[in-house]
Formats: sequence, C-alpha cells, structure tokens
Amino acid sequence: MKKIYSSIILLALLIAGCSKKLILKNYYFNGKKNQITTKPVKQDFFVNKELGDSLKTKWILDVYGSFSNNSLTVYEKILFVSGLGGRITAFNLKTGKEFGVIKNKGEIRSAPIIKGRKVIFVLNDYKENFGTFHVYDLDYGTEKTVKIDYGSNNKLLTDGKLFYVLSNNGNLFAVNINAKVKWQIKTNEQTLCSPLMIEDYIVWGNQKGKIYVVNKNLKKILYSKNISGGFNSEVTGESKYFYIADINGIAYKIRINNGNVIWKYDTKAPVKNGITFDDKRAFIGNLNGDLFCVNKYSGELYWEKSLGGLIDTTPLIFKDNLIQPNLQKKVDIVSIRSGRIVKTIKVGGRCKTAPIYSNGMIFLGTDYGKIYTFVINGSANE
Amino acid sequence: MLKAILKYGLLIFLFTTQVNLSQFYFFGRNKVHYEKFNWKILKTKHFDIYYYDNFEEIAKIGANYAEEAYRDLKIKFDHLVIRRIPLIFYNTHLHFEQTNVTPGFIPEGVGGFFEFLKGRVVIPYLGSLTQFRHVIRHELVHVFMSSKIANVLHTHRVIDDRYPPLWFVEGLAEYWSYHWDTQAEMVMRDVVLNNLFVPISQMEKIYGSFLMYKEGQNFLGFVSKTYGKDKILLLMENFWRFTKFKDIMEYTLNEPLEKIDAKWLYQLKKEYFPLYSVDYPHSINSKKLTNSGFNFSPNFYRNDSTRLIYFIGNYTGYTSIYSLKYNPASKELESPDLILEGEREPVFESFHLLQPSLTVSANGILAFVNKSGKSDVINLYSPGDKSLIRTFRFDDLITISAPSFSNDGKRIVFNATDKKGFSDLYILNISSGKITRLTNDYYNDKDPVFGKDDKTIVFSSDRTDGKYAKKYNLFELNLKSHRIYYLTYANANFGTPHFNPAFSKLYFNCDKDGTNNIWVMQYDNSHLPIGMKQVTKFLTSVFNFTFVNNDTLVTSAFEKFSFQFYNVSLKDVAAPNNPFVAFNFELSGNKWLAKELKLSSKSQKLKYKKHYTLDYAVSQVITDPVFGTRGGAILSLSDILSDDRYYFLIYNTAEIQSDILKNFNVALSRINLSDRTNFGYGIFHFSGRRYDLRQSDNFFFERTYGAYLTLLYPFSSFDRLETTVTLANSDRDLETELVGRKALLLSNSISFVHDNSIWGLTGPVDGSRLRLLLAYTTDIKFSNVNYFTFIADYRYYLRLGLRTTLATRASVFVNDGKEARRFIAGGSWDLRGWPRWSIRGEKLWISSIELRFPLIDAFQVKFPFFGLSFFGIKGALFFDAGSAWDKTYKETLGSIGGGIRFNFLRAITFRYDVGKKIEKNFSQLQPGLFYQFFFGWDF
Repeated sequence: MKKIYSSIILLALLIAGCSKKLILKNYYFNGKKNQITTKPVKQDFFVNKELGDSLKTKWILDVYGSFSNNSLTVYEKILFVSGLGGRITAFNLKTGKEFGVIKNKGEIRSAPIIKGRKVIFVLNDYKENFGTFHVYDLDYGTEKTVKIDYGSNNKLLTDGKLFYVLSNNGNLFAVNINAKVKWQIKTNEQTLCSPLMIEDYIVWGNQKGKIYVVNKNLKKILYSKNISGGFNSEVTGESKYFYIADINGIAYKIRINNGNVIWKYDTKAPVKNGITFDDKRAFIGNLNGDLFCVNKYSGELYWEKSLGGLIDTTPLIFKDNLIQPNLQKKVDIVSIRSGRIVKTIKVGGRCKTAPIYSNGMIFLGTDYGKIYTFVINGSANE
Repeated sequence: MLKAILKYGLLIFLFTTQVNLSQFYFFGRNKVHYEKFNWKILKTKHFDIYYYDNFEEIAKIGANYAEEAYRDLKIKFDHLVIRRIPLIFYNTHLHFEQTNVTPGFIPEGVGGFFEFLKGRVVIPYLGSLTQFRHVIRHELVHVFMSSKIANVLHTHRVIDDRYPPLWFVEGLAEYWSYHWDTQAEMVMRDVVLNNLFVPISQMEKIYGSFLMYKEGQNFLGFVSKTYGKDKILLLMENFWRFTKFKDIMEYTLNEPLEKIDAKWLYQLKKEYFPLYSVDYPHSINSKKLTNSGFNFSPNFYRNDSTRLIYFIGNYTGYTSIYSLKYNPASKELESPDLILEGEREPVFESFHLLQPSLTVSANGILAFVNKSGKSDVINLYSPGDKSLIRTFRFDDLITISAPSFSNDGKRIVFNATDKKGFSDLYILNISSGKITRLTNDYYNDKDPVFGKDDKTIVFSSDRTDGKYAKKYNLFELNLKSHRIYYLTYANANFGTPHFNPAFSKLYFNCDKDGTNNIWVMQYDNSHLPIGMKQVTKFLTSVFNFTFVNNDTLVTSAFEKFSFQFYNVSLKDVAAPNNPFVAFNFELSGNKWLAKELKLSSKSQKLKYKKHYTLDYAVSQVITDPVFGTRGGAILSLSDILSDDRYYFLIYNTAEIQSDILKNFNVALSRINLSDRTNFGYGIFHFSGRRYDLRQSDNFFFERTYGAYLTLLYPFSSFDRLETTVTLANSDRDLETELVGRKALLLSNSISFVHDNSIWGLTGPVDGSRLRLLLAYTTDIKFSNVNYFTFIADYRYYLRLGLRTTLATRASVFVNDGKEARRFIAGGSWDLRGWPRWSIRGEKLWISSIELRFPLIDAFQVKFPFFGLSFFGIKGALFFDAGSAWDKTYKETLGSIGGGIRFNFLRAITFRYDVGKKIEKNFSQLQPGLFYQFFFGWDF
C-alpha cells in the first residue's frame, strides 16, 4: 500500500512539474475574447520617458533554456519569450503566471510575432541542418510549418501581410500566414545579422562584409555593396538611414537608397549587437565592454565609457539614461548625456537579451532561463 | 558476492596498505616532495594565482599576462568566465613534476595543463617569459572553451556529456595563444613532404601526439583564412546542434568534410612543395648515421684510436648516454653503445632528452646534467674508466642545461634556473667547485660557449630590444668587464652557437628561412659582425650540431617525425649563392622590460590558507534478485593544491528494513601529500555479511570499527618505505559456530617498495619491482587472533628487444598464527589455467616466467557499413608454478601455455590464455587444454 501511495505522489509531482501546452482559446481580456492586435513589429530601442535611477525587481520568471539578443516581446499584456531550448513561453503580465509553453526540440533565436490568434516563429531544428517556419494556433495548439534551409539566427520581420525570414545562408524568404513561401531571394552567403525593415526596404549585412538592400515590393535586390570585413550584429535605422557595426568594431551610418557611408566610427573591438539612437545620439557597445556615444549625424564622439565585462546585447534608451545589460552578471544604468554610471544592478547570470519596455516594466533575460522584470520608480502601470 | 565486491572494492580504494588485504597491493614510482613550498596567493581581477617562495616577480608578470589573455579571449569567445580562475605557478619543471593537482607523473615535454574537476590551471616556468606567456594563454583558451561549451549546451538544454575532439581543443589552444612558429612549421613541412599527413577525418590516428596539436593549429588557421575567422567561434556556438563534430563542421563550413580535408591538403601542398626547388631533405644532402630512437645533444670526440659521438638518446624507454662510432664511410649504420643508463636509479634519476645537456672535454671527460633528488646536478664521468668522477650540486639552482667546457678544460659554463625562476649563465670552476654567476635577470640566457681565448662567452638570449624585441639573438659577454654586446641583430631567432675547431668561424642555428638551419657569421675587416650567410638549406630543422673537423658536422635533425644524426659536409652544402643577411644594429635597443600587474591593495597578496572544495561525489545503487538493493556514496574534498584530501565513504548493505542501522558502513580518511613524508589516517565502521575465504560460499556477519594511521616515505622516485598501524574492534558471528568471535585487533606493517619499471601497452616491459612486507596482527584484548605476515614479491623484466621482454616473478606469501588469513591464487593473474581464486592457503608461493612479444601490430576488419581496427595485439608464452597450504604442504601446481593480450582504449587489457595445467604434484599435464579469458595488466 505504501508503495502505491508513494508512486501516486511521485506521479503527481511529475505531472505538476511539467509545463502545459500554450492554449489561449478561452483567454479573454476585459470580458471580451481578445483579438490580439497585429501591429507591424517595430523594435523600439528608445522609450520616450525618464528612467531615473530606481529600478525595483518585481518578478524573476523562469523559462526553459536561455536566450538570444532578441528573445522577448510583449503583446497585449502577454510576455512571449522564445528560448534556445526551443520553447516559447507566455506569461500573464498582470499576475506573472505562466500561460503555457510551445515546445520544440531545437533553438529559437528570434522573438515570435503574434498575428491574430497565431504565433509565428522560426525554429532551428535539433540534429538537422535546416530550420522550420512555424505558424502556431493559440486556440487549438495546431501548427503549419515550412522548411527553411540552414535555419535562421536572424530576427523575424513582418509588414503585416507577409513574414520575412533571413536564413543563415543569406536567403530571404517571404512567407504567408499559411506557411507558404510566396517568394525568395537567394544570396547563398552566410548571414548572421538581424535585418531591418524600413518602409519598402529590408536591409542586412553578411559575414563577408557585404550589405544587401532588398525592395520587398519589387521582390528584388536593390543593391549590394562590400563595405567591411564582416557583420555579425543587428541593423537598426530610421527613415532614410540605417546603422550597422562590424566584427572589427567599426560602426557605420549608411544611406538606404544608395549605400553611401555617411560616417563610420572605430570602437576597436567587435560589435555584435545593434546601434541604438535617440534624436541626437547613437550608442555603440562592443565586446570589450566599452560603450560609445556619438553624434548621430556626424559620428563625432561625445563620450566613451568602459563598463568592463562584455557587451553583446542592445541597450534600451530612455530620455535621461540607458540600460545596458552585461555578460558580467550586471545591468548598468548610464547617463546618456555624460556616460556616467548612475547605478549598477547585479543579477544572477550573464545578461543575454536586449531589454524591452512595456507598461512601465522592463524585461531582460539572463543565463539559466531567468527573466528579470523591473518596474520604474515603483510604478507597474502607465 | 556482489556485496563483497562493493565492500572490498571500496576498501581497496581507500586502504590499500591495510594488512588484511595485503595481497592486493600497488607498486609504482613515487612523486617526491623534496622541499616544502611556502605558498602565497596573488588575487587579481579574475584570477587567484598561487606561487611560492621567491617567485613573486615572475608571478606578477604572469598575472599581467593572464589578465591580458582574459581581455583578448573574452572577445574571441564572446563569453565571460564568471568564476575566479585558479592559476598555480611552479618556478621550474622539476617542481612542476611534483604537483599533486594531477595524480599521474608528468613527462618532460608537458608545458602545463588545465584540470577539469576544479578548473585549475597549472603551469611551470621554463626560464622564458615568451614561453610563459604562450602557455598561460594556451591553458586559458582551455578554460574559456570549457566554460563556453558548457554554456552553449546548458543554454540549449542539451546534456553536457560531450566535448569537442582533442585535435580541436588543443589546436585551438595553440591557434589562439601563439603565432605560427618555427617548430610548427618544421612539423607541418615534414608531414606534408614525407606523406605523413593525417586529415581531419582520421585524426584519431595521431590522438594525443604533438603532431595532432600542430595539425589542429594549422587546420584552424586554414579555416580562418578560407572560410572566415568567425567560423571558429561558430563551430563552438553550433556545438549543441549535432552530436558528431563532423556534422557540426559540415554545417558551419557548409561543405562535406572530405572536401574540407581536400582543400586543406591542397593548400598545404601548394605552400610546401615549391620548397623542394630551393631546399633539400637531410637524407639527400647528408648521410644518416642513426635510424632509430631519439637522438639529441651530439658531441664529437676524437683521440688517437677512436672517433666517437657521445649523445643523449632514448631507444628503450629509458633516456641514457650513448656513444656511436663515427664511421660515415660505412654502408651499414653503426649501433650505439650504452655508456650510462639513466632512469633506473636515484643518482641518474632522469636525463633531459629535449635539452642540450651533454658535453665532452678535449681529454674525453663527459660533463652531463641529470636530475638527482631535488634538483639537477652536473656530473663528470670518465667513459674510459667507466667511473663517476665528481658530482656538482648547487643549493640555489634547480634546473641546469647546456654545459660547455672551456678550452683549457678547467671550467664549465652552463645555463641554470634559480628559485626566483631566473634563467641565467654561470661558470663552474671544476677544481674548486665554486660557481660564478654571470647574469642575473629574467631574460632567458642559454646555449653558452666559451670564446677562443676563454675570455668571452657567446650565448643566445631573448634580451633583444628595439625593432626585433624579444627575439633570441646571439650576444657576447666579456668575462672581465661583464659587458654584453650584440653579435647578431635580425628578425629571427638564433641559438646553439659553435665555433669551428680552428676557432676561425662562428656557426649557429637560425630560423630566418622558416626553419632552423645552420648559418655562419660574417665579419668586416675589423672583425666586427656585419651579417650572416646561410650554410645549410634543409627543409626541416637542425636541432643541434657538433664539429668533426672544420669542414664536417654531425647534426641532430628532425625528419620523417624522428630525431636522427646526419653527417654533413660543409663543402657540399655551403653554396656561394646561399643567402646573406646583414645586421642592422642601429635598430637595436637596450633591454625590454616586462610589465608586472599593479596590485592596488595589500589584501591582493595573501598567504596561502587551505580552503577545501569538492573534488567529486559518486553514488551507486545495486540491486539483484538474491540480495536485494544496496547502495552507497563516496565523496572527496581537497584544497586547491590537492595536497590535503578528505575522503568520505558511506554505504548500506541491509537486506531488510530492520537491518538498516545494523548494516551501516562509514569511513572517513585524510591523506596529506604536501611533505616528503606522506601520511594518512582515518576512522571506519564496517558492518555486514562478509565472504569467508576459508570455505567457499560461506558468509559470516562481522562488525568492525576502528582507526588507522599510515606513513609513506620515499627515498627517491624509485624506492619507498610504507608503514601502517590499525586498531580495530571486530565482532564476528560465524554461521558454523554458536558463539561469536570477538577481538580487538592491532595490526602493524612495514614495507619496502622498489619500482623502476617502464610500461608498454599491456604491462611492464623493462626494469624491476620489489615489495618486502612484514606485519603482525594480534588481538590485544581476547587473544583470539595472533599471526604474523611476511610477503616477498620480486619481478624482473629482461628486455630482449624493443618490444620483446622476458618477465619473471618470484613471490612468497606467509601468514602464520592464530586465525591467520588465507592468501588466494588461481586464474589469469597468477596460476593460469586454474580456476580463479580456487587455490587458498595461509602460505603461498608463485613463480612465473613469461615471454612477451608483439603479435599483430594492426588488424582491420571492414564491414559494409562500418569497420573495426585493433592495434598492438601482444603475444605471450608462459610457465607458472606455485602452491598454497595451511599447515602442511600439499602439492605443487603449475601451468604452461600461450596467450594474447589486447589493450582496449588504453584503459583495460583483455587477456586470453590457452594451455595445460601441470597437475598431480607437477607430475603430469592435464588431458586437453584450458581456455581462460579475463582482464588485467600483465604482472
């Protein structure tokens, strides 16, 4: 009898410990079945608010596996976290509780996109040399998929109609919501650089140091240009210009329509994240743990600061300070005007994700699958 | 039986000197700690650096190298090691060989290691700061890689039970720590040009070899150049994706491995084959004088009747001094004669094969360096009289190399390392035995020779400054003024200066053309050096050379992956159009200064205190249908130097719930290895059913608890004394008796152990081993037990050929007295053919003679989808004899037969024997044959 009871208890614990599948069929907001909106994904590195120097930890959430630079996204008070363990976990930002998990075997390098009641993501399959584009139905837990050769470590983009996957061998796939490839452009050059979508353009750089600009309406390459030794970072930009930094640490500002380099700045160590900017300044962090602030228009240096450790995540800029995660198990709050370290917050693991802001909360991920949730000045909601 | 295996197995692991189990013991050499080190710690931003005694200056320079490497490697790996990294520095290789961080013995060629259990890096300083920097960086690449791979697997939630192949691990450590140097170039040229190249797909063939390191390094350079330097990091970042590294490579480089290998080889051939048009192999433009073994430090000697080359060589596994008749006209190669065998006795404990360590005077006296006890010594030896003339040991000098006689034979100049780690020049006055220090700094001064009139010393040093800072150039030291002058100045490394017999020219090694060749100094009219002219243009390196006459040299050179001697005629090789390189002394500087790490506060320099951390923890649960389930655990703690260790063992053998407390077994031990005398002590409680050797398949219940103390004193690395005292209370319930047996047992034992054997793949092949043990066990309370023990076990291995040995053994085991334990024999380990452990008695003798020989060098079976390869299968022919008895001698048993041995993965030897038992008191052979399969090393 004792054996039976212990077996039952063990089984119950086992079941309780397993994550449940992410199904939001009966999920309602404000009494209505929530139609999750589908604004085009626009990565905002700039938050038009004052940060101050006070960040309070609200939650430390747990997921399976760790993260890449772009693993977090918030839709309608749900935090979606993609991970290197091949899973997407959804959290309720009102309670901090987990809704459920989409499980796969492999890694997911980019934050998912939510359209309607669907979650769209790219999985790099385990023990395979390809990836899979997934369209996951949140109501029923079913999926449609299509194979992506060589997989993709790069950010997933959408213009609201199609989803754009830049594969690791530099081929751009335009895929619809039914997981059908509508068109593709092949370069067959290894590419580990998160692309940027601005208006009709999709821009990226590749490991050979070439930049590509594609017109997605024309479905063709507008131009490609060799400008560097290699890119392994993220493209950021606004209106007519984009920013990119290379493996030698040189940051570029480039005009989109013709590829002309407006300015370049040498940080002297490789850069693997995105260059962020506000209305005046551009910020570049490198693997030596140095942070640079330059004039966005001229590339002239305002200040540089050695933070130590290693920076390979994109910072989040506020009106007064920026948040810079560091592999040295810390987050630095740095004044954007002077470069002075306002505050350093120690965390439990190496910081792996670019922080994102939503509803008065800042999220960032560290080693061992931890998501730190901070509130600004004690306030959780706007 | 299973219970017994668990119990006795763990007991043997802990208490190998326990008298109760004294039949299964261990020979082995000793790691001797001749001196007690006064350890200190330097705490830097990322490292805890352990050093001792006067090594602080070099330790601070090393600390700077380590922090500099950390900054570089975090970028290369895109990763931070967030734990503090322990670095343990030893001031010489001799002291490094004594480390307890690794239990094994460290050969001379090992320059440092990274230990995975506690993430420790252990590095000897070898006198050169450049080399020190290289090794620090090399080991830190291992630290970073280990952390990165674990992180990649962990973050992807993939089980971290695998690691990249060794060629990649070591190749990367070389590639990211050092440039492509002369030694690397020499090795790759040799393997490509002599068809010894091994592609990546077959790297297991050269597993663990120096070639593997260099091919790995070269391959990664090729990947970087051909596919992009980012690919190397990507290979690690993709490590989670596949279980086979081949798949990871093919995915990352986007090509099949066969094509990658082909491209690599093609690039190498393009690079090296054109060299044939300008350079030549040793075997083409010189005459080979030796054809086997390792041959270094040639020294030519001539008298009226003889012409000999004295040298340091290794043909058998023991590095020794040899002579070779110099007879280049002979069509047959001369065989070397053994002058002095090394590594068998403490006075010639080890020779330094890879360093110049031998010289001969004009009157035929040898001066050579060997390790003896705590440091190196210089010995003077007369080969004619076969006698050791004198031994010089210097208190403050630890390692010595490159001795060279003065022209008058009264002095010897040499290079030595002191306790600060400084590698400097000294002169020994032979008659007085006094030494004079010539240099005193951290520059590596080496290969000294006397000038023509014994008033100057010419040597090689890395004190070069200016444009070619830190290169090894040749310098001249004036013994009167002690001033040092540049003799050479070029973008190359210079070494082994030698004047020709007429003292009219100065020859030396230089790597200006990519490999070490011989060059000759060129002077102006004022006899000032102006440049150098190339003499030889060999494809692979000359390591050292000696003059036979003004026109002839004997070189020690590297070709086809072996080190052999060649006779070189200078007239044949020194072509007029050989390159000339001018020296531009204006580019030189004074002396470069090494940067030390600046410490910001006193708390960063600390005295060493022991902090114990976990080494490992292992648990085991066994279950079977007869005895049920039992389990246990063992864990080990030690300090960072592994000098002081604690072992904790716990297990339970209860068969029913109510017996749990009764069957608890616990042992706690401490072993201290920090001093010359090693000691251990512990307490234990063992309780449970045990197997009675007196009768088969009979059990008794015994509860025993007590304590032990053991001491081990090594006389040298070959001989030691062991002693153990155990006091144990023993309560035994015998199944056949109504009343139990109680005893308070006091056991004392003392042993002398000798071992200078060397091993092949399956067991010892040369040397000898001996154990003499005397012990006494008595019940001091109830007088129920009272016996003495005597064991004599001698094994001798007579080398008949390089791979053939005649092994002999003679052993006697005696237990005599009340409740004396039995010894056991029978089976593949002693009396072959007889059932294992079937022969039992309080007295036992065993004698064996066995011929061990190579049987099958390689054996391959290819199936359609896979293949199997077996290497090094050995054969044996044996004859065993022995007997066991209690009070009265029974009969003599024996066996005769043959067998094969196969070493599997260098971890275990499988043995299969066929033969006949000799039965009926040695009077008849058994009908038929016996067949016996088991595992275990040869005796």
